[in-house]
Amino acid sequence: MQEPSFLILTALAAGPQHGYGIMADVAQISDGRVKLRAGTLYAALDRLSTDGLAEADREEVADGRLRRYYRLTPAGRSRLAAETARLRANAAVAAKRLRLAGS
Amino acid sequence: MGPAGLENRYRRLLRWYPAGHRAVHQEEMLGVLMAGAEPGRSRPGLMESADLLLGAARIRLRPGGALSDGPGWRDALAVYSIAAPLLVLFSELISWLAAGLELAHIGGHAGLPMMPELILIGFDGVPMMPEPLSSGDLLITIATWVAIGGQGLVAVLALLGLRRWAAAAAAASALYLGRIAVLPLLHAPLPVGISISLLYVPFSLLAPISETVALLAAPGPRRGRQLMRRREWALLAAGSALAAVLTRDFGSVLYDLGGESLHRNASLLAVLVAVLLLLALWLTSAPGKRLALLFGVLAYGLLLTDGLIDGSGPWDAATVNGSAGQVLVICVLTAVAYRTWRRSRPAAGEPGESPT
Repeated sequence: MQEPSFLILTALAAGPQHGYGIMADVAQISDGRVKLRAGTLYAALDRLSTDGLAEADREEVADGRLRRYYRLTPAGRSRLAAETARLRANAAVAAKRLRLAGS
Repeated sequence: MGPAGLENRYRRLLRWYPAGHRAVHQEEMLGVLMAGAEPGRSRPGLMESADLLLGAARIRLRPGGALSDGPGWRDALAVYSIAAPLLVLFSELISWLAAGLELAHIGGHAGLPMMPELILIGFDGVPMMPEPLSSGDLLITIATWVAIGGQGLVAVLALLGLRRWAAAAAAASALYLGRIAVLPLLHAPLPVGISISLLYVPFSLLAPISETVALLAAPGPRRGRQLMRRREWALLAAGSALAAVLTRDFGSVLYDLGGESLHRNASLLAVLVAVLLLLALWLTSAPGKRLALLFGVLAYGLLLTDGLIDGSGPWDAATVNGSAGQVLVICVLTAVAYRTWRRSRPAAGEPGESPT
């Protein structure tokens, strides 16, 4: 899974968010390292929707602009959990080897 | 220039996205873009523009991405129900006239030959003047004119907006050709003059059968006529001429390619169909993409028909089954059909998915 997709799913894991909210949340989650732009965000959302990992939750109009909220699907939640476990396992191996190399 | 100018520039950039994607996400994306724009900015930044263009390319290049949602199959079938009989009719008439010129060329006299000679020109555009005419030759000639006349009748009825009558004419044409198609199964040995040529009939059934389905399943040819503007009519005329040129052997009258007519190069023709199909999918709107798929299948059927009629050259059974071009066009059509089907299915919770 590519990092933008992982971060978007992570942002949605806390609850439904609209596009601009996801962008802001991703910047916060990554400590400012990843700043999603609209083109990247919507290409990723399109892919996630097609794969059944995220879906539209509701729409609202704020300041005359349409906002669509997205949420994680059950498949998206499972996929995020699996991806988190995979990254955690990889990170654990990496940390262990670094400790061995350092000792 | 204020926010309105910035918004217009964003809208211009968003035009690079597939029509179906825009229909669902454009306003939402504009909201995000405008919310993220620095105060006083009048133009999108370079990186932002590049990101939007890249995002559009990602969505378009994704398998099935070009086949985005939209008005969908109903409009595509409505246009097909009126355009397909016209396209087949025009291409047959063009190749028939060209075959007449070929006959005149061979005979060494200017102008079209006499009407009785023209009437006996077969589907393959090759003058059919054996002496005496066999029953098989006559049957093929009658089938030719039933097919052409049937397409003419369907086209006229569809243009008049008579959906059910047009569907009945298309179905009757299919039934007649289907009856001829089973002749080889009923007669052993075959009647004199009937050979592999009769194999064309099952493939020539593709047009009337698909038209019958389109006429019955879609809102009808009236809707198709509404959707067809000047550009679509021009495309139809160009497509008819192209189909006539590509699927017929005009020999020395029109062209040669490296000493061998284009018609003989099966792989090149098949690759051309695949490329045209992919171009159409990239360029047209959501119903247009589905229409391109329908015409892609029809074009391939016509190519196969022509190859089987010929029966003696590189279009023989071995080539039809084995050429890389054939495999390519089959793969493209299958992949596009599969992706179209997948994208057409209503996904639960899919935002703004139009029923198709």
